Amino acid sequence: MEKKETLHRRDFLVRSLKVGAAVGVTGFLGWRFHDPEGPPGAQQEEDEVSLPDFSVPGMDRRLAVVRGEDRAATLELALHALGGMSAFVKEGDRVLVKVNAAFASPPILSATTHPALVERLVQLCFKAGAGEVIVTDNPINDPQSCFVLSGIEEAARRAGGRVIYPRSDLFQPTTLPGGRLIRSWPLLYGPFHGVNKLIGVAPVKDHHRSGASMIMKNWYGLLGGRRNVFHQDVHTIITELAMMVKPTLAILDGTTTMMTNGPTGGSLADLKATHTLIAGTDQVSVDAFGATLLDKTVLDLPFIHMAESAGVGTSRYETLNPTHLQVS
Amino acid sequence: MRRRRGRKETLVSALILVILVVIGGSVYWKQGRYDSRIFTFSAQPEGDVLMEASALHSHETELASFVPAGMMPFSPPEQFHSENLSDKINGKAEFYLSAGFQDLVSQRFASESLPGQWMEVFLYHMGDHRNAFAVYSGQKRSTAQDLDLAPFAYRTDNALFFAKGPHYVEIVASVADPVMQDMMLAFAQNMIGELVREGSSLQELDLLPAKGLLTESVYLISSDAFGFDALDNVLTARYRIRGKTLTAYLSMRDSSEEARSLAVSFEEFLNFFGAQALPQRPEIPHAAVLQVFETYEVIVQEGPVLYGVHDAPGLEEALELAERMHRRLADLEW
Repeated sequence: MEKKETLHRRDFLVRSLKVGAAVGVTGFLGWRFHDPEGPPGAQQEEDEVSLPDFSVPGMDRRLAVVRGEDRAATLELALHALGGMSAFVKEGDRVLVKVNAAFASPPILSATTHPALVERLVQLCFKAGAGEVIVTDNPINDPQSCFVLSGIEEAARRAGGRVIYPRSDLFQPTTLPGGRLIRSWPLLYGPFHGVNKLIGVAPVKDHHRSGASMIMKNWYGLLGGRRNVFHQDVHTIITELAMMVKPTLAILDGTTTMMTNGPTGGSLADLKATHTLIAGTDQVSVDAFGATLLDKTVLDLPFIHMAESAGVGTSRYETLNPTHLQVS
Repeated sequence: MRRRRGRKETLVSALILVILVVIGGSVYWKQGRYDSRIFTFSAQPEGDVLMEASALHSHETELASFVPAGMMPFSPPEQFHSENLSDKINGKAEFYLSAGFQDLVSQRFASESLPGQWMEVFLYHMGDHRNAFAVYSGQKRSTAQDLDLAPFAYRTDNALFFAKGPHYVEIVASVADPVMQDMMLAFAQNMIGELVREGSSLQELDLLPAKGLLTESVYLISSDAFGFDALDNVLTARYRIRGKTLTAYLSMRDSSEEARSLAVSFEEFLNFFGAQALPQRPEIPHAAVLQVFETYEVIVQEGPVLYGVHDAPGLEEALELAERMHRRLADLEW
């Protein structure tokens, strides 16, 4: 028969003390490691920002399509057709020009906003009375190389504009109400301080993921962080960007269109002289027309339909009775 | 009565305690060095730092050693891997990644005498020569001028491109200028002898019938050919027959069984999307001929080769092209 073991009082106390010590040490370590504030990401709601609506109150949707080779001339004619730059920029306005400076590539590749267009646009803003014109983007490559080698920096400065590079302290988190992807995501917000007008200006390009890079895709350059994760859902992120950014004016440069191997291109053989500049207040219709320069339709570019469904604008650009002009 | 612990029990207990201490220590060490980018708000990725700090991984990627006289480094070398390739080429990264991209080294070089004239060299390591050819052929410009620099090389007004072994190289100039073209060519010539030679040929290229072939259209699709995820490593080429443009394709598989199985599953894939089988033709034994709405498909398997015609605008032209391919392959023994 097995002998029954008995627990002595002394053993019981010793074991209890050991267990108590173990619990105490564990609790102490837990208390020491506890961070009552949590990781910084969890406390950002108070710091979150959102972009205001930069569109001109009460202005109807306008669209102008101008044919010609000289960007400065087509821009001027397009703005004239839309009512003149003074319809958009008033005395003392602070204007932010969002260019596409994504790559450190030369202007001849048309992978970035052409410096001639930037220069004339900034000049016209000042001519309309702008107090300050800021030119910015958060490029894919190192910002200084991108702004310098693309020629945008020199063009902007020559016209009196101020180029702002995307420093870390210029980003603040933003959330698009109802958005699925833009949630507490870093936004290049610093350059927007005091700004009351926003002009997007971008080239027409083929894009391997989204099919096209035009006005709406160009807002991608306002995002920071590891934004390349959004490439997996590129049409949704473009749609959400279009919902988030309500510009005063959108200027799409199709003077030379990158037909293949976008968005970087690399060869003049990727380009086609399409000699068209599109300007308007409805970014969806501007992009819808831009698609035609790529020999594509709205059906080829889901983000256009998605943005239209989200109420950003209309893809049926002809319903806006666009003004068609030719630079003589 | 107090039970005496055995030696074995003591050892096991000590071992468990040691393991727990090691785990605890590891957790403490790891949490002290955690990657804040994963958990916290990060305004900007740290790619720039990474790029500048990176060291070149082998002699052949020291691009500055290939600079011809009259050019000088204009920027430090940058290196990119699969996690940050999009920091350099944005949306085109997926194209390279799906083709087996390993890494990229790039650097700019400027003319010593001509201000504003510079070029950027991109050296992609694609893993093997097939992958390198895939990205080369997938981007080949239709107005290109072929070069005898390498089996796969061409230039345009402002750029030069070639594939050799597992490497794909782009040299892009800031201007379309004859002097810069000479510089790009000199750079490529300096470089090409140092690049790995193995696997420079593609056997499938010899299987394409020459008649009617649009040579600049040859393209090796690495994956998801024609939207069918099982169809990879497919060589496609366009042909002109009686004014119509047709796409021929062929894929070398590891065995006849694999090729046959793939042919069947590709036919099933097309059937799922509404393809209708048409009567077979005696000129091409065992060919599946399908009509998909207004276009035609031909699927043939011979030995380890799967080939056919895709998305053809005319049935007779599709069959003629398939027959040409059949005749080209007929003499081969598998």
